[in-house]
Amino acid sequence: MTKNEDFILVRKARLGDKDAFRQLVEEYKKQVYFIAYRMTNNHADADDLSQEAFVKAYQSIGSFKGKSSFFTWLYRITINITLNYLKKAGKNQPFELDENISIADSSLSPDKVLQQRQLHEQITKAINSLPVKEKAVVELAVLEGLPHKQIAQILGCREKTASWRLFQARKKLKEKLSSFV
Amino acid sequence: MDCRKVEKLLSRYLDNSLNESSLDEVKSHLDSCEKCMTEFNAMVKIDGLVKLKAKETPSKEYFENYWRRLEDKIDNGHIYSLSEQKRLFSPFLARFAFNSILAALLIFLGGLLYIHSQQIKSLQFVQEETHKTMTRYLAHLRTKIDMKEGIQSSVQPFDKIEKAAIMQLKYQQSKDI
Repeated sequence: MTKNEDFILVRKARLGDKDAFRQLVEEYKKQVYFIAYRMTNNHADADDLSQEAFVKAYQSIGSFKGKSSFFTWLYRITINITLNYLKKAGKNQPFELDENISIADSSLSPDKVLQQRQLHEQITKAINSLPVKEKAVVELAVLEGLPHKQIAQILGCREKTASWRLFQARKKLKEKLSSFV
Repeated sequence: MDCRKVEKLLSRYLDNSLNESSLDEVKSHLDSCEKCMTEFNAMVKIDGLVKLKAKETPSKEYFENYWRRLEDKIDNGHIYSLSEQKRLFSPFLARFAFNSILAALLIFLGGLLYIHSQQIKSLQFVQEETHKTMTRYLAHLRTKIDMKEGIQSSVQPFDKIEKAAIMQLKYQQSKDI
């Protein structure tokens, strides 16, 4: 979906067109879900948080000024809701292999599947040990491939701060995953 | 540009978030510095490992039903958000509730003890008053017995209660001896 298509749908949704909002949800539901999932490592929480983000977006779409793209605005809502949740929950969520999530390729042998699961567990633990704000930049930069300027807009901080957090996060991950590098 | 400065810029270089002049400087440094190049390659590998997480996917049906569930929430009004639900059961609130219940229990027990002590006091008062009345009655009885034994005919005969009291008194005296 182009920025212009987004813009038209947002305008319609602001006027109360629910179908226009549905199209926006269909476009971004996966990205929004995955941000919440990778931050919480829990399918149920990610489901609740991503839906909460869309409900909030629907309720406050009237206040969306269009200074940034709808995508950036939606990401900011999702990240804020997730960070808020993680802060209130007290700490990072423990790592659990979720039954609702499949990580292995069905064509792999059982040994390979086990190896993949162990590697996956190590990576998740390493990411989980990061402070939530560093985790958020890793999610946005590495997994979503967003430029640092846009990450700063989403997180509401300066570009230099976002870059510094990412530098720190990568340094910590390198230490924790040194056996795989 | 020295290695220390390049190390700090590697993260931005990797994400293509450097301005053109810094980009060229880092690039030429990496071409000539093996140590920084190793560092950069390690960073690329780390990103690759992190991206493995991106392979996680929920079931196909989950996303197919996504809008229907969301529409229900939008239509019915989203009463409690997950963070609000968690807030309701936050450790602080749980501690506060526990302390409140404990304080209420202590106040209740204190009240019970106070009422009990008041009851004991009033019981003691009744006992003392009864004892005084009994003592007075017995003194009156003794006087009447003495007068009877002194054969004073004008003295009224003993009534039933007095007779019972005299019996009791004699029994008590014999027991004391």
